[in-house]
Amino acid sequence: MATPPKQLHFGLFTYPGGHHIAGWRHPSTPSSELMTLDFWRNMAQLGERGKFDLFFVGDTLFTREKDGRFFGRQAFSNPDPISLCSVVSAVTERIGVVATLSTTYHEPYAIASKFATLDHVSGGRAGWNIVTTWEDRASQNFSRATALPKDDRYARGTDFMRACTALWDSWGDDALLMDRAGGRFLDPSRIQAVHHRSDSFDVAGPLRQPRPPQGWPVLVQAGASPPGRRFAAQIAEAIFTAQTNMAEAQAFRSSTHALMAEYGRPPEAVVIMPGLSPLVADTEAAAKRLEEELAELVHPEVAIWMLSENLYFNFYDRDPDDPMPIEEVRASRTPTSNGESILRACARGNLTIGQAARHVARSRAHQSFVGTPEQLADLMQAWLEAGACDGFNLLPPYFPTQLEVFVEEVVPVLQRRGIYRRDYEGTTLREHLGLKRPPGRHAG
Amino acid sequence: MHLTLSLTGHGCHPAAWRQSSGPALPGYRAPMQRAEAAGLDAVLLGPALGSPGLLLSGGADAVQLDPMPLLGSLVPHSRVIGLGASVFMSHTEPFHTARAFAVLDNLSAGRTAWCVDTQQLDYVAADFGHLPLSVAARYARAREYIEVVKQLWDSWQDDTIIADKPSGIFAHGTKVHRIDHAGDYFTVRGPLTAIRPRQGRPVIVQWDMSAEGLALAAATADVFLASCQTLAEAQAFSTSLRAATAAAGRDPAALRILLNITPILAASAAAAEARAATLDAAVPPALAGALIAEAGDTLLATRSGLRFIGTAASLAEQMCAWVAAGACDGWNLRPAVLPDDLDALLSEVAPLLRRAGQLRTAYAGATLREHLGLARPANPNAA
Repeated sequence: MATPPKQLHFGLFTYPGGHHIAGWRHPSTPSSELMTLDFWRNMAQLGERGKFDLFFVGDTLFTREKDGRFFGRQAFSNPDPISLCSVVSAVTERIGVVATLSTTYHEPYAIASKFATLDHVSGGRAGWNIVTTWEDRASQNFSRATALPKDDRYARGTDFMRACTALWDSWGDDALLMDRAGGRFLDPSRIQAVHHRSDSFDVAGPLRQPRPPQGWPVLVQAGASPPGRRFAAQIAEAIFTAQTNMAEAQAFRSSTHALMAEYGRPPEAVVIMPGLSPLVADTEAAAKRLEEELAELVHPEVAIWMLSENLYFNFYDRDPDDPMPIEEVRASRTPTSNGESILRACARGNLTIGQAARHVARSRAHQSFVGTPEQLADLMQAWLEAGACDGFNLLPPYFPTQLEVFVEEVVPVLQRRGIYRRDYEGTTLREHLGLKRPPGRHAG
Repeated sequence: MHLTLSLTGHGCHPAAWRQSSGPALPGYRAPMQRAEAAGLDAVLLGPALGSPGLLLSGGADAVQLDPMPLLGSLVPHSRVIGLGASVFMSHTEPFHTARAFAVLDNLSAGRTAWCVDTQQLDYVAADFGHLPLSVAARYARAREYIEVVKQLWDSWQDDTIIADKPSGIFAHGTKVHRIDHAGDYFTVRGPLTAIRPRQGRPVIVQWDMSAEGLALAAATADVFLASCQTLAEAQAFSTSLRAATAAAGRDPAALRILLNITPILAASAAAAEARAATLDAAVPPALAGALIAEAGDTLLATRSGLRFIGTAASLAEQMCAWVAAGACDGWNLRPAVLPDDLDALLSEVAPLLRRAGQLRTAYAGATLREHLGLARPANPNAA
């Protein structure tokens, strides 16, 4: 019997106004309504109509500024992720809800408790995108002058995860008895304290909630630096990554699998989803016109600002026609993995500063696509079949129109090709992603 | 009068779970929607009985969902009723609290309340590994925490967002402000990464009856949930809290004082007494022991407030009489058993209150501040 073709998985990476920096200026974007329930309900329900695996919310713990002032030429950043996910979980039935939260500015008990509740109220659809937050400007909102050094952040992150998973496992799945006649609400022998003690944390436990429906929320990670990738290899069940080139994406995926093997984890324990920002129209020419239309909406100050922000390098006084000073940028401060992927794209394309700015403005350093539904399906199928990905985290350039186009025009093509679900088969996010439910300490 | 409803698990009585008809993890949507249909001001979530000792007695519904994501999950299923959630101050950051409430206040179109939990419980501290603060330090920190949250809510002026597509200006950069707070407990730069809440500032609810807690409330609370046992005690309490509010430089009329009440209702006084006795007897022995061991710790006794045992008519009468006598502005209802006592409250007591002109027949306002008759705070940055 032939094995069924491998299936794509999709994340809907939300962002107020859209992922193109000028997306909010597109005539179809309801830019005055980005903080309303209707806007987010519509977005999540569209994703669910498209049978997406998950709705994904990033996190920003500081406001975007230029010269010490809020920079008003761009839409605002992410709403509080877990709050938004809890609201969205109540207007959807199947799609997973993934919230980004930092292990640096929270405590394990609080986070374990929040995600357990999100998993309970959503019926097993919660996911946590684990970040360690490096920006100094974020730390200044939390009584610290500078961010923790990277190695410390990941050491804390790893320790944090041990405490959280112990808390989620502190109840056996069968601990609740609800024996009204016998007066036994639960079985204390199926609940264990945690007593997690380490340099960073001291957590007694147990959690005051039953084990989450999924055992643990799905653990998502996006770090691409060496310590970040090692962290992901140990714990991540879904990985978001910026990959703009198929060969590099293949190498990333196979080296991730190899790293996981060092920790005894099989390749199917992870779903790798590179970011992809698709701009789709009926014809290639129409899609190109849309791209130009959007490019014209980018104020030059915005593009240069965004490049400066992403690379932590001041481009304001440079000539946009000069070539990108790649080595100078690398020398001034070790770039983040996102910054490094921008620099690689600059080197590959021999970009000027102006071109680099437009590249970043277009897709936040993720792969961008311009073309027809069939062409996009071709790209996705090629990446899937070449082992470059297990799916994509989609970053529509403006909302909700480009999401509608994807759901209405691209999804049916993928379904006809047999590489994307026609309907949800399970009810939990783990089931959508084909991930096992962690058995827990009380199993067996 | 103003009415709020505290919702926790199967009800406020420790044996509620044995009497309620709901599943082990009861849903909150249905009781919230019933409260909204009855015209209550707000539903308040958490905290529940939560110590490991109570949990491991096996006889307690000690499940404690996190009130914030729970609140979020209720937002789309209600349209006008207020929604409050408790946040422990002792182990959280003001930036996170300010942002979560700002976002939920906007998504709910102005209906949230922040229930400030000042308790410092040993068993909670044990989950966070923090050394307990002295009483004075704890309340100094709480005062600073609330101040930081308010400043963060105010860090965006109301008219910051213009989303002007032709000019490419989304927001007025000059209307977003750093707070540059540097205090004894927090150093916070700001601005918040969220626009100002629809209500300006979500409603601040407190219930800490200690002397320090009352001083904090006088300075910062919009709503106080008081626990008093007699009319005279409640009158004296309200008089003194209003005086303290005035002494703190605030308008005492801008504070809503609600009394906690746990009604155990039945068709006759005798039947209600019998019901209360049955409920009390249903507390499993292991749980009873754990409750007694921790009573001093958990403020259980004080927080549960007045226990009313009787008929719907006598309850409605008392609720109206105490408000008329200046003992309170309304009540925080803490049903003993869900949904039974909520059913009785909403189907039998509420109509009597409505007939007495003490409960709205329809919501006149859209935001929780409007339901409570509280003004929307001006933004000092707008001056």
